[in-house]
Amino acid sequence: VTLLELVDRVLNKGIVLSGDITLSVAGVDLVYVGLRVLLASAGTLDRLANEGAS
Amino acid sequence: MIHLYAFASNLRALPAQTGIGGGSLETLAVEDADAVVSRVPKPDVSQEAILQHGLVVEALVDRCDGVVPARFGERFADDEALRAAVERLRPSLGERLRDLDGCVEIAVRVVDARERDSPSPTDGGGYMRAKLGELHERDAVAEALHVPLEREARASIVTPPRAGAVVHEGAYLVRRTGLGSFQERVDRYAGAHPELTVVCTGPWAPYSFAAGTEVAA
Repeated sequence: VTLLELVDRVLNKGIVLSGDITLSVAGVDLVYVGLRVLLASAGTLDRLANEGAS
Repeated sequence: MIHLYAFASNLRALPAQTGIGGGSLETLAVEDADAVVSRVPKPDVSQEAILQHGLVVEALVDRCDGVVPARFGERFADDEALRAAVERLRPSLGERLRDLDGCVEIAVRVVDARERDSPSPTDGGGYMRAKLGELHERDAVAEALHVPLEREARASIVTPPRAGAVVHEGAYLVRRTGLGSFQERVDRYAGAHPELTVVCTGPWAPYSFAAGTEVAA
């Protein structure tokens, strides 16, 4: 839950300065593609998170 | 190209970690705050980059008085482009930093995972009665949990419930000094309602409360 919540916050919330953030490539919304991929590889990301925190 | 992670007030020291793609973290003075950035050769939207962004922001929370996190994807050609964007912000960055000073975000979600006793309604009346039941449950949670939590918080944002078992989803801006009593309130509610699952996460950087600084297009 925590990892997904972090990703949700990072991608969908926070200050917006440029107003035209483009996270989509070839018409596919990368935010959501990203979240699906994240779900698939949460293990890898957990490892990264631990490495990043240590 | 500059990737922006967050703005920080009274930043004591940069976190030891590197930024996206291994670039060093840097600060850039804007208004009364520091923009925390790193140089990236090209836009990187990989999962690692997204996670790295989040980790840098989380690491900043403990190192300064106030943090305004940037949504992933804020990139600028150079320092001047970033400064110019900050100047256009309304309300100003300074105001927002003051609003968030000393505060963190706590997410609270209440899930009702119980199987419904009655079978799925097969007629319009039954459907509406079931819907009404869901609404009453949400009202009850709002009364017993959200109202007291709101009192403990400096601000709150409730996400309108989507279909499913989630009966309450809220983000609360809580003073660090008030985290203990906030947690107690959540625990008390969870203890009194063993039939519900209460998921409380945080403290987070105040992502949900930074969005109000959006520039009018």
